[in-house]
Amino acid sequence: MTFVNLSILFGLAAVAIPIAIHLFNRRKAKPIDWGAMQFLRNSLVNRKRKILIEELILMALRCLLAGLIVLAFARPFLPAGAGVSWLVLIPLILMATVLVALAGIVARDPAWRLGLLGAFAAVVIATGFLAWNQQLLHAETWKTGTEQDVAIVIDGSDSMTVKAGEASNFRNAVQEARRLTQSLRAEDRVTILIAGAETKLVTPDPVSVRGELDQLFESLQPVGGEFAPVDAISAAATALAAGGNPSKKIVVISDGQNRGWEADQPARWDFLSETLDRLPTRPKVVARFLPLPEQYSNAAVASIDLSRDVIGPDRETEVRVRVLNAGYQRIKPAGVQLRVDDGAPISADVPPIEPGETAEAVFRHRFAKGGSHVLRASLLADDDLAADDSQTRVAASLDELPILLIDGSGSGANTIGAATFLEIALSPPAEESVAGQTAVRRLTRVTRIAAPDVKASTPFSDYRAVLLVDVPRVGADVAKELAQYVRSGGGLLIVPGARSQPAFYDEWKLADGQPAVPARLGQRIVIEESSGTAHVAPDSFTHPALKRLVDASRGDLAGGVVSSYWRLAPIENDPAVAVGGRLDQGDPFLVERTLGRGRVLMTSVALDGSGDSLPAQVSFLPFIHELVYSVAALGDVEPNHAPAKSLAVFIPAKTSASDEAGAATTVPITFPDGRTERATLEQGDGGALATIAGATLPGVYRLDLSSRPELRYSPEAAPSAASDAAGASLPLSIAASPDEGRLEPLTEADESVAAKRLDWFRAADTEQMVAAVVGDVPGHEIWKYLALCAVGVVLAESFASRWIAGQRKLGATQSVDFVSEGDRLVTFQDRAREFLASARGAN
Amino acid sequence: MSLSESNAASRLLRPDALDRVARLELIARGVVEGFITGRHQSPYKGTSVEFAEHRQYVPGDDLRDLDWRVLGKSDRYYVKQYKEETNLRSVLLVDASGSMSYAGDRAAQIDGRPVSKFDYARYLAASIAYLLVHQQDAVGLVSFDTQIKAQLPSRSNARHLRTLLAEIDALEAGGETDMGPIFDDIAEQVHRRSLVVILSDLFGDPDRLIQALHHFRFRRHEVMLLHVMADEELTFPFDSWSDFRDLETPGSHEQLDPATVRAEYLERVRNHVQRIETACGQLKIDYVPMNTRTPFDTALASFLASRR
Repeated sequence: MTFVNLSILFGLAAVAIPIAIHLFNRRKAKPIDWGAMQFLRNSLVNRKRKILIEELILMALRCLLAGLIVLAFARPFLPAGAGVSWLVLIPLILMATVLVALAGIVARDPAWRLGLLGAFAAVVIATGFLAWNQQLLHAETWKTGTEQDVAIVIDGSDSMTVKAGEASNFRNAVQEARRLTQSLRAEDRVTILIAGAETKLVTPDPVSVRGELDQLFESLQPVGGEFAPVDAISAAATALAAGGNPSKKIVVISDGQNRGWEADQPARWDFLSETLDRLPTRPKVVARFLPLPEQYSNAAVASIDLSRDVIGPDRETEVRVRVLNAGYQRIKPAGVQLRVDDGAPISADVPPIEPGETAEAVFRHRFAKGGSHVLRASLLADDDLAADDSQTRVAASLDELPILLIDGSGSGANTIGAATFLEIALSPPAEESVAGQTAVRRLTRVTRIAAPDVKASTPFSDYRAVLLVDVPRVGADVAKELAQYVRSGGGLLIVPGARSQPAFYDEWKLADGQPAVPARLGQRIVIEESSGTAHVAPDSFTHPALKRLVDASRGDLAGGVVSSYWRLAPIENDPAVAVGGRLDQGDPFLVERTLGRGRVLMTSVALDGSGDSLPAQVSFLPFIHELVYSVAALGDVEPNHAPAKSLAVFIPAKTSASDEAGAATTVPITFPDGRTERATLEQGDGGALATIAGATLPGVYRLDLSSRPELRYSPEAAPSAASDAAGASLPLSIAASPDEGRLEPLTEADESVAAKRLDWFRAADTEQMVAAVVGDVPGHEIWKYLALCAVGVVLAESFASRWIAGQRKLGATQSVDFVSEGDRLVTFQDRAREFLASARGAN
Repeated sequence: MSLSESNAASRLLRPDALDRVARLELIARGVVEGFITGRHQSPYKGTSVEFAEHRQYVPGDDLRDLDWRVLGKSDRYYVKQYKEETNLRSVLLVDASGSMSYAGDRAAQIDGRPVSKFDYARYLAASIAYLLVHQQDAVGLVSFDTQIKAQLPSRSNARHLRTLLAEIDALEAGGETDMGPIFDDIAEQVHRRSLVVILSDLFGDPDRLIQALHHFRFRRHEVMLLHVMADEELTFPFDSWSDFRDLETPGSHEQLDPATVRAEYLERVRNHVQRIETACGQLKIDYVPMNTRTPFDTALASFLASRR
């Protein structure tokens, strides 16, 4: 603790005043020669104890009052983060005061009294010294001495746009920043940053506080997204490095929302701490958290989900828009609108939502044209935070899904086998289309080829999926080519039949020695009719493609009898391998392996109608579709991402041999806010890796690939290319987390992550923030509390003294009945006149 | 009369007081007579009585004293007044203990100074002695603190009065009070039935005092108790810190804030006074409270008047 008026502390000697008055009274006692001592002494014997107690109480109160008043005038000041617990020490000092007061009365020996007063003086002096010492210490800690560079980081996240009181917290924060700049010295320099999804440097160079800052403050706008303090402070440090003043400070004005705080990533904070260390002087970070609003109504579009991974014109796709109530009270949005590309918006209702709960609006849409489509869901709700009321998602739809079916049965199309069943399943006959409807476009296009005809030169990359059905083996060059095809994003479905040679599959390895298949074929099991049959066990399905078939009412796959199958032995200890479903005996039914950017699926059942009856089941067709879509879904550009400072998106090339030298290494990209930056392209295995810096703003980014025609999504690409239907660019969507709208306050634990690593000070109010920056010791004064205490003590003293006086008077009101004869008459003459009158009357 | 005796007489018998008494002679006489005769119901009444003067009849006078001749001649009612050759013997007991020297600020002033209880008692004693001797009553004197300090036998001549006044004048207050044993002694010493006039502040053990009063009454003495107290002792008006120094025991003192003990003190004084007054009522002792605030002559005169 320090005192604003430290010297007034010497006034604590005033505590001695009541004691001195008491002693003075005693010393100056008027001597009275008294006769009626017997009554006095007897009275004293009776009352001595009570008198002492009364005197002690009054004296203690008076000394306390003097002490409190002096302390209040000294304006004690509790600096934030003081090492000494003054809130304990102050009462102790006051208690010592009281004890000294009491001892002053009790002690009869003057030497004792002097000793006690001396001890008290020692306590006062020690306190004063301690306070002075602390004051020096704090002043040293906070002194700025020289001119300083101050970086003011204003939280410009979405949550700051919520109204808190009169204005939004963002406006409040700007006001505080303005207040701060007004308090700085003329030679100080200021850098202002607005931090949200990205950190905007408002003043590229540190500016003088005497400059035209007012206009600048007026023009500040929030950037939206989430506030990332680590990035923001790091940016502030970079800006400070440019300043020439030796002393540096960073001020963070935020609403203290925990979103984006990264308390779970102490390493990031450690790194930030090291960054700050590299500055000429380590800057002090002053945090000022504005209060979050108390009333808050907010609904947010949490996500847009599609029911299928592969979308085509063949059927309607279900679009589910999830709405989250991120506010504090129940909300009833008017509805949700979904807009696909530039089409007309369609609306759907949403039920009322409780706080923290979500609700779904379901749309059905048929994507008539292949390509990338931008879906934009908007919430029709009048809530406090508008920024999270809409969300985008990019959906890539295909005009056609080309599939290469390699038939290993060797008997051609005439024999009914697994390949035939699969081909039929994947290209349903036209007559299946319902009469009266326009012809349903088929999405899949199957090219069937006999195994021996497959060559290394076969253009696998023209197909989204390759099916190896009952293939005994393929040539080593073909195997190598196929593996490469998968690695660069292709899908491979292996359906081993009776002819399949385990020797080939088990030895099918990649260049680096890894197995290409998810499982060894192992032993072929043939179940005799006498020993029963096996079935697929839908309960064991974990693969997403199979899960859609689990529902018994929709799938009858379990009804199919399996009498022979390969006992697959999944590759052990490989995280890329997963068993997606089993037979009811426990042997694997489906094993999956991701390989590079592609995927390999392997069944244990031949699906040929002789070793099993699965092709006869109604669910067979959707089962095959799901399997094929599952392997074919990969290999596309992933267009939907979370905000990232550096977003990497792989864009496959049209041909495997696309490593052209001299290709453009950067391409233009349009940000959601309309500005155009450049994304870097790095040539990679089977495509290019596009890196977009600062993809933190939610919305749709458009990557212009016109300078790289060899990439699959360039506009000149084949009809199958999924470039944006609307233009020549590839759309990418960045979806913000709806949690930004939740307004969860920072916990102490969260803050301590920062406080531990940085030279951190949290200002409780604007004054403290200003004090901390301009070099005064921040903290809060407690004189008001002391003054309140003093008022209380005054009341107590007044009450006590009145009560005591009342108690004393109680018996003293009755006077002694002792009246002289002479007093009964005013004078003797009166008595005489009365006598004469009576005498005359009798006469 | 020696010079010193004369001085003593003039100092004690305050001229103004005596004047006042003289100016109101008629009443004073009535007072004295009424007091003496009324109080004593003398069994010796009518013997060796010498006519003194006439006085107008007032209701209550004994019809036997009515002067029928005057009534016959002038048709006026006069009563014959006699100079009684008294057989009344009286003893004045004057408390000369230290506590009697308390004066206070509120006491009646004599020579510009508040009179002490002791002076008050001395003046009273002198006046009473003068009045008694003036009507040929025998007056004796005993002054005491813990023991008898001075003693004069009861006589009624004028010479004796001077000696008595000189003795009273020479008294000095000091020492502690212990009335009980002294009163017992005096009760034994005074053989003839007498009027015992006690002038004291009566500080001390009230039980012992009442016991001594019983003794007086047992010896068939008439007792008149003139309780002299200062106003301060009765009201305890002090409010600032005071150091009360014991007048009876030099060096003994109490330092205190008077407000803290006032109630208790007054309660004790009240009890003490009440106790003695009640005891006097039971013993048929004439108890007379005397506050030194009242000028002593007024007090005396009114006291006598009330006992007419």
